[in-house]
Amino acid sequence: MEPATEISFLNTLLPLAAIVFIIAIGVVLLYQQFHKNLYRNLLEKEELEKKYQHDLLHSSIQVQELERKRIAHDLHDEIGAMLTTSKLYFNQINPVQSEERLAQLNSKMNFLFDEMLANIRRISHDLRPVVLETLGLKIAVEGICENLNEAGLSCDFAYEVETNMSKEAEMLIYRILQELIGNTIKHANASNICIEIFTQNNNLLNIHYRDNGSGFNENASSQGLGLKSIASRLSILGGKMNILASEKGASILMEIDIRKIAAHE
Amino acid sequence: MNYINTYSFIPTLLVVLYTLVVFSRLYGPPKTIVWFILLSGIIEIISRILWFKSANNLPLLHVYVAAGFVCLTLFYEDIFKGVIGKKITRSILLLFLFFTLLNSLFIQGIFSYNSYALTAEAIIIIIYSLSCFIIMLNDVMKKRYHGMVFSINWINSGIFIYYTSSLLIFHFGHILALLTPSDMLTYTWVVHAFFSMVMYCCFFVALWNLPRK
Repeated sequence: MEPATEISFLNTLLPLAAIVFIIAIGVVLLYQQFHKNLYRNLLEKEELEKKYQHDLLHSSIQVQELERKRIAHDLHDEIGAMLTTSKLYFNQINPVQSEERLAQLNSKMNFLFDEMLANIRRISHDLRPVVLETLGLKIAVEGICENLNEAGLSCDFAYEVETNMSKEAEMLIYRILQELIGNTIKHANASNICIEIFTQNNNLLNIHYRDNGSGFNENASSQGLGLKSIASRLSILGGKMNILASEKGASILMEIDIRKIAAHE
Repeated sequence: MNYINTYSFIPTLLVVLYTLVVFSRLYGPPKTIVWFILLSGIIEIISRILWFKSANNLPLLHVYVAAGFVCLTLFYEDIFKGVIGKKITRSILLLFLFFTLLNSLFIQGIFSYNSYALTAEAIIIIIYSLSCFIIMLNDVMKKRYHGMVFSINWINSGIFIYYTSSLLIFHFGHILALLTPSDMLTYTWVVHAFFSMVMYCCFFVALWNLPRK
């Protein structure tokens, strides 16, 4: 029993207590570090989110201003010019003019009024497409495709959606597609566009847009603005955009929760 | 009881074999632990060979402690990525390697049992392991390791069980030697071998339940 006398508090319980204490301190310190970093990560994420929202708002205002500028330009340069010319012709109408001259003025003014009506119809269509309002998204996109095909740019369109979408959602999707097509025409130098709109598992609306052009150039500011405007419209729909890897051209997949865009009966 | 001591290498080697089979399918932190499993397998084989040749295999234990600690630090570093600074884990790793080198060369010597290094290793690994348990309760981490939480918890449990029992056995082994007859020491090694088997069984469960890549 001699060795047992050498067992004391100092060489048994004290080392154990010290070890437990070191472990406890270590765990507490690591946990504090974890909390600090987690909080910092959350703040950074929030900051990024705010910046993203700010960018979206900024780009949507920019897009709105561009649209206003375009309408102002159309009204001033086309309708305005035609009205000025019409006024000049109108001022020439007086009893001293010969019958032949009056017939000529009448014909010119008729032509100008027809042109003005066509222009007003076009501007109004650009602002709120009548086809979309009356016949829905499928027919409206088919119309765009027909126009593109007539212009020599091949466009394939597939639509497999059974859910009725709200008018607002249809308009936003239509604008997104217009923006994408505009980008393809202006920057991509493509010969083919493919648009697929379909539902997945009856809960997700997928919009897949592809072209065989030069793909995305992230440095081009106008293209960047276009993408931001798409992102801004998608955020209203609660959707998300994925730019997919593609051998040639651009390939974008947009996913939208179908419950958020369904028309309320 | 000695059967446990003699055949404790079998679960280790079986887990090593299973790890080799599923290696290409693994990803994330469970893939990092593979290096520890493979290291254990290699050390186990070499130590058995040395034992059969009646050579002193204690220098191997010195290597195993240092290399095993590197592997386990990498495993926890992978889990703690972004939430606990790499600087902390790397500093601890460097300090530990410096200490174990110093211990092997000047304090306890390469041909004797490196209880100091083993104790220090166990303390640090237990700190990591307990922190891992706490951290894995957080929703952010659950989301990050979605589908992998179960496996990570099993691996961590295995490590925690083994190192806690090892700490008690290694550090208080000499007290047991003073209190009990000499053949009781053999039983402490049997208990150690048993907990080692438990750890490898936990690793096996973790790897078996890991979702495929």
